[in-house]
Amino acid sequence: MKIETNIKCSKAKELMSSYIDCMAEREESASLELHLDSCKPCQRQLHSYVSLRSMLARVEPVRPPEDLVLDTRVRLSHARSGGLIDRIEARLVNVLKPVLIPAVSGITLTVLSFGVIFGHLAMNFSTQDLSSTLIVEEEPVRITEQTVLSAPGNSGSDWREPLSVRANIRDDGRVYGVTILGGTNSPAVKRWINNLMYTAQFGPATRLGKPINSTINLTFINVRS
Amino acid sequence: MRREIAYYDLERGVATLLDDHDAVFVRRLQANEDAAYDELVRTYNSSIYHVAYRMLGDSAEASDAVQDIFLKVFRNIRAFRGDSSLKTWIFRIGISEILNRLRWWKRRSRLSTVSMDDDHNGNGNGICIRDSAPSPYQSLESKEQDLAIQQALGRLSRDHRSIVVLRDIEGFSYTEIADVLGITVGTVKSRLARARADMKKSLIRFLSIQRV
Repeated sequence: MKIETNIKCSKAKELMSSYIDCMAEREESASLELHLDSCKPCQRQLHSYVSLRSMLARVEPVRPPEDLVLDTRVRLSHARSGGLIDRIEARLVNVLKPVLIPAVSGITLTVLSFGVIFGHLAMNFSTQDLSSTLIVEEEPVRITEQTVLSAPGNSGSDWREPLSVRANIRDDGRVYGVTILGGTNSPAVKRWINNLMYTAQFGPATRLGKPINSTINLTFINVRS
Repeated sequence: MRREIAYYDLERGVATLLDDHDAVFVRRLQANEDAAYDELVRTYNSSIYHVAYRMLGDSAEASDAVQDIFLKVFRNIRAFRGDSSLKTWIFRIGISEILNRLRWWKRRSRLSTVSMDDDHNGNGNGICIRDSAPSPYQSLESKEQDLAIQQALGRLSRDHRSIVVLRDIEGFSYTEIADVLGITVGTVKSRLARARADMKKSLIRFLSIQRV
């Protein structure tokens, strides 16, 4: 073992750090101790190193934030629970979920709205078609009670039973259709009743003051004077 | 199959570098056992946070770093072969993560000042010197000293700061520091000597120098 007996202060200072930790080599420690015996400034330096180490060693650990352990466990738990596929799935869900839900809701609402609108329009169209059909088939819109009239003597027909007739009357009071419902239905009677009805002028039925198509039921009785 | 290989490799390392407790503990971590991870966080949370805080000088940044460090431990635990102690391995990951953050900060010139936010806000996260009943004067002096220590650490280079924190504040051995930082014990000695000399200059007014 070779001990340097005359090391310089600069070399002594280099050795002090290891020396106070008992990590200097034996020869280095011996050399330093020899130097310190005769060098008061280096003795003060050594004490300052010891003081520094002591000061730093007394520093208490900084307390972590209270929620750090919990936060760390949560992050670890997430990382541990998910494999690669799970992570990708979770990522996809996280990305798509905020987009898909509003998108699906929006599309559904749009479809429903258009459905309601088109449905309504379609119903209107079919109603209009139906109503136009009904207008044709609607006639007559008003049917009178059976009315008994005396047939004129010149009816020229030899019929004794009462003659029931239905006449369709337009809103201008003119007859546009005659049907014999009961009684003698001979061509002569038919001709006579047609001549009578198609030349007649009726007062049309009204609805809310407006003339409308109507049907009138008439019964003729042959009266012989 | 992969897990079995890891166990086998670990078994070979256990005899020389891992004690029995660590060997079993590492197996439990590799088996993804809930209780093992709870124990891992309980055991290392404070010390890793302390190192991170001393290195980064910011409570929020230290908290983020701690969480990232534990995540990296989880992601790499299967590759752990037991060629160092578990503590050393974890701190190696930790220091690496912290140094990465410091580099990131430096690139963005954010490391212009040392934050002592927690300490100054008085929320109890700051440094404190052991003292059962500090007087107001002592308390003030203690806070001033804490601030000075953190500022002195902030003036050191990243490498020197790591060594001072690990050695003088966390009490790591030279060998552990060499393992954590991936350097030789000789380099640890020389860097520590230079770092302490710088710290001594910064903190000279707090040091009691015996008159000889």
